[in-house]
Amino acid sequence: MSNLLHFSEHALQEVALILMATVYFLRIRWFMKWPLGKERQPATGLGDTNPKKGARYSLANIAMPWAMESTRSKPFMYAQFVVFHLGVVAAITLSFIIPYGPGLLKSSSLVALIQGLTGTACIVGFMRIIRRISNPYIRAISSPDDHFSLILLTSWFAFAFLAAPNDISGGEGFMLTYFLLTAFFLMYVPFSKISHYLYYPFTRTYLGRSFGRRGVFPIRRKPAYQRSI
Amino acid sequence: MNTEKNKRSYKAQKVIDRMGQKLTRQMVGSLTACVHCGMCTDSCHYVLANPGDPTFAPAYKADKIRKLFKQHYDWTGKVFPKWVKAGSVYTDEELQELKDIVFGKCTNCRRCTVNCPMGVDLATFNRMARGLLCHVGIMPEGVEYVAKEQWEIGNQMGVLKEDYIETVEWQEEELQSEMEDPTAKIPIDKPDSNIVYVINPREIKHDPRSILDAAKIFYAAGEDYTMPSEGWDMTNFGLFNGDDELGGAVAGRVYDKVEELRGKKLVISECGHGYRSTRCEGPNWAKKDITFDAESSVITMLEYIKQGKIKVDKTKNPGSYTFHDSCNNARSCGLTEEPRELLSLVVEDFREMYPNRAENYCCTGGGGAMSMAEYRPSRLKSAKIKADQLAATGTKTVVTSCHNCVDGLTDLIGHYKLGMDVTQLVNLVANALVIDDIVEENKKKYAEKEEVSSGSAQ
Amino acid sequence: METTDIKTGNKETFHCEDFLNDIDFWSIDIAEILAKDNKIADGLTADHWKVIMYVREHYLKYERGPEIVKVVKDCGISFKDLCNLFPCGLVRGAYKVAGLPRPHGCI
Repeated sequence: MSNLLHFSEHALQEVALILMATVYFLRIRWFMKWPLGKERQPATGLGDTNPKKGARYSLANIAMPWAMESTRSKPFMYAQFVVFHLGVVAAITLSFIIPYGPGLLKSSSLVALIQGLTGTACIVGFMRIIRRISNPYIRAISSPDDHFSLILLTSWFAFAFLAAPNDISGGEGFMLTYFLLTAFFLMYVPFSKISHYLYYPFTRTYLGRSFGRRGVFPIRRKPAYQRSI
Repeated sequence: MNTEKNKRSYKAQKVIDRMGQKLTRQMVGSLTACVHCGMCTDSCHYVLANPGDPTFAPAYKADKIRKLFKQHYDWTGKVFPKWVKAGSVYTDEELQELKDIVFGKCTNCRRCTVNCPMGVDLATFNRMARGLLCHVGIMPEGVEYVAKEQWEIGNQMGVLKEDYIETVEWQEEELQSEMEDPTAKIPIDKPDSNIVYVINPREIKHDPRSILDAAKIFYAAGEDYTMPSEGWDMTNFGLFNGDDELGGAVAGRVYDKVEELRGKKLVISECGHGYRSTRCEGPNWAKKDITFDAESSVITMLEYIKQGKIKVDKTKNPGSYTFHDSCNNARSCGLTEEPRELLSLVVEDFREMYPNRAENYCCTGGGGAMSMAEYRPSRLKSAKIKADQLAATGTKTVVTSCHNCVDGLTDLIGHYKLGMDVTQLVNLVANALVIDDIVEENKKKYAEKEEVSSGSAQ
Repeated sequence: METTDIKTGNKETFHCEDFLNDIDFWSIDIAEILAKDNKIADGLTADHWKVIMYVREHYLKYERGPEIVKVVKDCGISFKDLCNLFPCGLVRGAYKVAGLPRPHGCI
């Protein structure tokens, strides 16, 4: 292994991680400084829900494609979302396995799993790039950051796929690119829209609390009463 | 920085400064968290009615507000404005353009909110943006007019106190003649009542039938209630123009009067935004915790039937009915099951509309849109979605628990020639009342009394 | 409302195809056309005119339409009769035929 690859697998990643953590810390501190809107409203609704239940439902929304019309009516989009985000998890995990537990990659099924996830995520990434460019609605709302983040992730998936076997016998190119991309990714994320997951627990909890108090969450689609009279 | 400020009009600077004061953490979350995934696009009736026009997409509209936030209150926008589509406003014309978006292209119906995977509440910060513009006097003329009436006269239609009282007394006379009971009352300002009943000024000014219908129901239930002489307007244009001060003042007037009369429960007549404003948002705007119970008249009427206080006969309402959920009732207050239960008790043929409840489409007249004449053609165009939804039910009458929806639906039914009627639950419940025996008894009782009194006079 | 546009010859005067924008643009002929468009099939009777003129005068004096209680009491018409005279209601019936602009608020 060359010094450059070793550096990018270890020192570079660690610095990038520390930088990301620092920016995230500052970001959350900035966010928490905004005053929390106070809710004085006495509860409405049928009384079988409350802010806590609403928040739980709201947070679980991510795993309930049937809960929202937008995901219910577009199961393919939801599947893309799942694959894409599992790909992210796989690619991040890989960036830890290679430097700190390369022995794990001797298991060919783990390699196959990571390659399966990052590979399909890469395909989804391509589809999303095409959608972002060709769909007039999505194009109109896209910022350079949106385009760049998507391209960055899609190529990162591709290199994660190639790096997963942790085999440098054919040259270090893939590995080096994967780790350099990972480091760049770690440093870029806090400043980009990719950091949305940082806010997800907050936005969903706040919305869930409010809608739970108002009896809106969990959303009803069937009668909650019996036509007995 | 100074030069940057100098380039900006006085109003534009005010809007930006005010934004910092109005932002809450919930809104900052919503403004930061959007990933431009576009899942909200199809949830908006404006998008569906204007295919191919991305400027109606919720995320697109949101970005017009979001860009200001990013430019002035978020770091990334300060450092790399173009990269994240941050931007500012400089001229009054740009503020007018923003007005056309936040007032003219969104009814604050919150349908995109419940369809956003990230939990971004566009309707809430759209209302905030309306408030910023309103603060510098930029809003549709109709909204401004009505807001002024609510500030100055105390109700949105400028009805004077004497006219209000005269109308209630007139309806009292009607009640007496219909019930054959000369002692029947619609009490005004009766202290210590069980219920304080507040209404929409439209009921006083244009169509008091719903007041009479409610009075009949209260009469049949033997309810101890009163209508207040002031603070009787439960509607609130503060919800529409985003002005929390107006919202607090209007709701506060209602609360103060209930407290003054020592009423036990505030009952709000069927009005979506009025219910939401008075029942839900009002305490937040007025910064006041309410000390009494408050509920929609839908719940009151349903309880009367369930407790056997009134009897209804659903065969008195023949024909087919569907129910339209008001956005404010269903999507913001969870009032979805009670109206359905009540409706199925008073009509024989109730057919569900799809989608429904918190997923229903706006009547397209929400968010004060009925008062914005300048956007009417675009509103009626967007109403195509609602019209198709109504027509698909195959019913003759659409029932709704919102005065604003009644007018919004009436407009679109006329425009798309659907030939449907619009009515409210209070009218159907009053019509289904089984009160013939009460009326007969009254007839006898007061005829006897008359005989006795005329006999004694001789 | 095509007939209305042709007869009045001025589309702009109409407030988004129903209420008049300009109360001065109103005439007896226009009232008759508006009546036909708003479910008053058999033409305007003396009772209609009593209400229409009352509503107009009130608007011209106070810049707002009268409350329904005033119409009923001052014109000496029962509420039921008023509903029969103007099936579209006070605002969409009487106000409109009387040439008043669309009122603001929840209408």
